[in-house]
Amino acid sequence: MTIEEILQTRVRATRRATSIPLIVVPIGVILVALSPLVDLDFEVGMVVTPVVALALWISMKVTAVRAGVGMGRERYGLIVIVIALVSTVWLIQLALGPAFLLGVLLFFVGWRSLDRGQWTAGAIIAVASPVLSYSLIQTLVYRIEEALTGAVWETAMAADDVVLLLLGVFFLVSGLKRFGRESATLRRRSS
Amino acid sequence: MNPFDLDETIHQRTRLGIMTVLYEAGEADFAFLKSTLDLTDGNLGRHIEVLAAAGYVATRRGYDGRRARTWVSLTPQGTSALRIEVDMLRDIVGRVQPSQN
Repeated sequence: MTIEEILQTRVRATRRATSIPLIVVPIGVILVALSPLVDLDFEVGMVVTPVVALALWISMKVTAVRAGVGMGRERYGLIVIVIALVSTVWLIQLALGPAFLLGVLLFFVGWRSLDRGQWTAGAIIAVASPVLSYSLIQTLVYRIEEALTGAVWETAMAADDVVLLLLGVFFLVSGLKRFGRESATLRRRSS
Repeated sequence: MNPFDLDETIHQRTRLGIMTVLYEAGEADFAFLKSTLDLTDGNLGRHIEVLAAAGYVATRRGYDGRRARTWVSLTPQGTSALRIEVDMLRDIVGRVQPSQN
């Protein structure tokens, strides 16, 4: 590692630039996945997406200002505004699922900050959202249940929601691991 | 590119460090630069003066409650100078290690 790369790593660790997006967005995905428990449908994306986008910007801003650095060159503000505006288009939420724009948000944040882990996670969520929003897995589960027992067991959460929940939890854990690595980098710097 | 064309203002190790931090952070306050680069107030101030005189960085005063903070940021001219410097350094490395390219 060159001294310039070490400095870049330190600054990114100080800004928590590698962990915060991968913590905040998966929390949004988990909320979306759990929304059927409170009887919310695709419209949950119209609330959760702008709130998560705003929470991401605020957490990045507060972390940066407290540490004495700027927001970097990623232009998170612009991405947040665009995603928050697009999230009000109900047709997108209906056709592509409420987690789609959360995936797009993470994809663009990761793409702007050249973070492969972030944009890969964003792409996976964005692709999974439309696939999981048509209850295809749940339909399959019903068919198997009916064939085996002659009846179906209805639950508030569909199997597709559980898959989305597991995706959210998986990425949240990877975000928390990154947070730990950033803390280790900052500890090395101060020791 | 001629290695002798390297811009001494930015090529100096500490100033290259300051520019690298500012490029990644967007802007940084005096205290952060001082602690990250292990510099004294006077030393950092002198390097910032040199970079500001060349038009590579700009400073602004801000307040965190009652505490005054000096923020330093890269100017477009500074960003462009840093890119040229990095390209030149890559060029030099490429000449020294031709088999790896």
